[in-house]
Amino acid sequence: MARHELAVIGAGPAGLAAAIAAADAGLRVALIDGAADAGGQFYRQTARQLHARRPERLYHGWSEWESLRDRLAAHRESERITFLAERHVWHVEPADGDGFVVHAQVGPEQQRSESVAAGGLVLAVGGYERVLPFPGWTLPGVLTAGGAQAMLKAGLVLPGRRVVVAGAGPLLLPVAGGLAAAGAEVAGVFDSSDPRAFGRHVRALAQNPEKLAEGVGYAARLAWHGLRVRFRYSVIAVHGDERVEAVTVAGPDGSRGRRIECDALAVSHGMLPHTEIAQTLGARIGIRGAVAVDTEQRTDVANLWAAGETTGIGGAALSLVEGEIAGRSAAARLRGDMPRDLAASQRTRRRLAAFAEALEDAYSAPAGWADRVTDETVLCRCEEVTAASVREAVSELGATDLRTIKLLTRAGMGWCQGRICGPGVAGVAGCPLTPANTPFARPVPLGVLAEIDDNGGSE
Amino acid sequence: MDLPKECDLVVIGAGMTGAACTWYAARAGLRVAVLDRGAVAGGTTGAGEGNLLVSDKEPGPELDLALLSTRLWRELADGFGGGIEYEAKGGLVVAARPEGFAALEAFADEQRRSGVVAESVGADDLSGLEPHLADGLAGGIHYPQDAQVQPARAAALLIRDATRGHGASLHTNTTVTALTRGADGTVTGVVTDRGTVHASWVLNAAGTWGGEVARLADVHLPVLPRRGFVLVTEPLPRLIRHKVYAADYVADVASSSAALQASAVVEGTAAGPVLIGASRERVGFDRRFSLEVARLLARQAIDLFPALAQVKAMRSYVGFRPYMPDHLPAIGPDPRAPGLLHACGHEGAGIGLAPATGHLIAQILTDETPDLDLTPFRPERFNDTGGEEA
Amino acid sequence: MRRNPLMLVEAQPEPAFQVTFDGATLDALPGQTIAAVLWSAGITAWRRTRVDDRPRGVFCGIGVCFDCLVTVNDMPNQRACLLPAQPGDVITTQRGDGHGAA
Repeated sequence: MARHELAVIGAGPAGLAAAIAAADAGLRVALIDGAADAGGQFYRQTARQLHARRPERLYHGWSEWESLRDRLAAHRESERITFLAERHVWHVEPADGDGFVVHAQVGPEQQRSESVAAGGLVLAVGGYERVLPFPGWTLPGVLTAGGAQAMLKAGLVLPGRRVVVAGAGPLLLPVAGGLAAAGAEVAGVFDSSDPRAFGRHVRALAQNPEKLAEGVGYAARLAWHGLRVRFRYSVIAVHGDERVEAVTVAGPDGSRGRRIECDALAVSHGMLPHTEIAQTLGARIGIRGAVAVDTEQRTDVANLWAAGETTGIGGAALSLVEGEIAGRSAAARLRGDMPRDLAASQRTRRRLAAFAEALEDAYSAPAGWADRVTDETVLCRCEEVTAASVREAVSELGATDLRTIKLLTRAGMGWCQGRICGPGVAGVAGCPLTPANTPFARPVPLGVLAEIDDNGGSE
Repeated sequence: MDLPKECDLVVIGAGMTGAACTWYAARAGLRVAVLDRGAVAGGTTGAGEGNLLVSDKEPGPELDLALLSTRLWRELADGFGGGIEYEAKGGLVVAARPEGFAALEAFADEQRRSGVVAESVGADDLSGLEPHLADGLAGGIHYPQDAQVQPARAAALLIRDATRGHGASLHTNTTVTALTRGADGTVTGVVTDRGTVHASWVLNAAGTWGGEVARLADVHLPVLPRRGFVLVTEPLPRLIRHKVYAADYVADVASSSAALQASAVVEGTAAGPVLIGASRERVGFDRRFSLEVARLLARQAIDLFPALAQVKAMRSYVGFRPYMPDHLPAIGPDPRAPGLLHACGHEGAGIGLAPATGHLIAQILTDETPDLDLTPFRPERFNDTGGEEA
Repeated sequence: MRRNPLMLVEAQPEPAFQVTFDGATLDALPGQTIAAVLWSAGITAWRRTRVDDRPRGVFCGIGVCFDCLVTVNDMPNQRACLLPAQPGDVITTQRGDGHGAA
């Protein structure tokens, strides 16, 4: 089994920055990612065989990506960084003595597992979208806003011809703009947040002019397509039998709904951090369900760092600086030194984090959404558990938390292990969103599990 | 719901055992308040497979308890319909080699004398019972009395029925911090973080944490945790019909060793996933996942059912069986603390033994003669030796 | 001509190949996932759920939700949003758990 000084899981902005910073400082790094190319979700690359000559038209911050890409290439050339692509990490365990052993399934087939040992580990595993349930949200054609963007960037495809973009959060703007630029008819962009809420965060917003400019740029792109965001509006129902045919949108008064014909709905209510690997290793989970880290991005587990969305949702710029801090801290600490000259990066981090918190606070899910979830609405998409079952578990059967609701109803027991339904079930049940313990970060064939030893796995 | 000021019986613990004691006592006319520091089924009940087994028990008091429970579970299943997911699927214990099969048959002979139905199955007939079982096994014993329930739902539905129809009350997120005692030392109620309840009797049904409750009454009850992992697969069609396990399992259950033992118990469920238990380790309350245990369970499951190699494990959960030094539960009144009763320490058999335990507790509280001799389950039986502490 | 994503980024994809979906032949571009190929053909659902027999397709688009499970070359429970299409792939609507449950 290969042993590296540092392993970095996730090759998005945070993981790339961490791996590059650590390699710059002389560490030998394994950079592990499930995709064929580095980039993560934010810099998700168009498939090479599609030969996009102007890929930058689908991205924000393309020049930053080019710089990261070139620095990664140089470190791969000098063998400071080993890029392990198409490795789907399913479990990380503490190594005997010190460090970690990372177990990953290989390739799209995922019929074989490989192991990587490392003295230190940076978790840069990112996040995924939160979608709060509403009647009709399981119909084909309803998908996450980020999913629509990922499918567009990677495969150059659209979810439909006429798309409504809705939810709450800063992601809606670039997604709507991207879909429109790529030829979709965007039938409306609806954000349930109240713009007046941004007034409470003038300071954090004003200190981040480049982030504001990014937002203005997205809005200008939308305007170019004749679109603008309707704030305080939300999709309250989706109509259709076998797929989306229309949605109903309600405004601030909440009473009158407007029906909009469409064949796709891209929806998002913000993001959630991936925390299962950190939890399995015993790291503390802090506020907003994110991995808790100190000013050097260290978790409370020795030689375990975390950076990017897994430590709190904040966007690519914040992920980049967190990754850099983690990489430089790891490079120093793993060799028994103190990291130096982190102060400037830590200031940037604080400023961007304050901006992210202000956004998270200002963007808000539609008030009373949980009450509008009808009894027959499916909350757990995998196990097809309805809101009625969840409500019964709480009011009749003595459930007080997500775990007991799961035991009594199966909500959260399916393929996604409650990642998707967690926020909806917690909201409808009126209990806190507590991440489940999932020692398998993704499903693993029993045959692979039985044989990890033979791949140099765990001994 | 507000705590009552007083009642006949306070049950500490809303797991399967507490639920069954609540149900039988409430049905017998007692006013019962069942308390839990967490949710219903939040402890070992929620981490179990719902085994109702006679097959793994040697003749003796535990088997008698299991046989009584087998009958009571069938009654409960009739009364509660499909809600508790009772399934009389039967067990199949297999042996790889002829000498193992011979040992199984000898064990089954003894069990039959105690009333267990055990059918010997030759090598050629195994595939008729379990079409996907590995080739080359020497034979097995079929136990039609083995069954399964969904333990969390069973506990929740028994408590709901007791509260709806029989005057009991449920209080979750309520932690017992002390017991009230009379001048003569009699236990007269419980103090909780939400108030005090006076009661004629207090029942310790705290499972793996029963030793802590006993300490509140200054009595010694050596309940120790024995960790177990269960692997859960993706949903499948009915590939596996019975609870299937290899002969080693019985030896593991009866063992007092602290070291890791695992002999996979493999079974399908009504909902689709296959469950693979049952490791046993004495490592305290350590919840950390163990890849070594998961690997061992996966290997043994594939040894029994080769087709499982392609099937994906989706999750794993951990639980702590309440383990007593002599592998028997504590059931009955505690003479060291009059007014206090215990119903805990059922190890890995708590779901199966719950109805019999609840039934016997209700008989004691209503001054009926218990259906079984409770002497082997006396809570104070470890006092002489000081018990065996981990 | 209506604008499309390939035009936007001035893509020059490698030659298309064929796959089948429930017996019908579809064109696929090299590098596209199974989900992208099906979307290109206007198909948005390729799974029927285990309990209620309802249609499903892409939801999260990044491999987290497992809603887009599909059977490819007789292998059930493949995530269409991650799995690259290969020439000759036989894609079939996945029913229930995908293992041929009754």
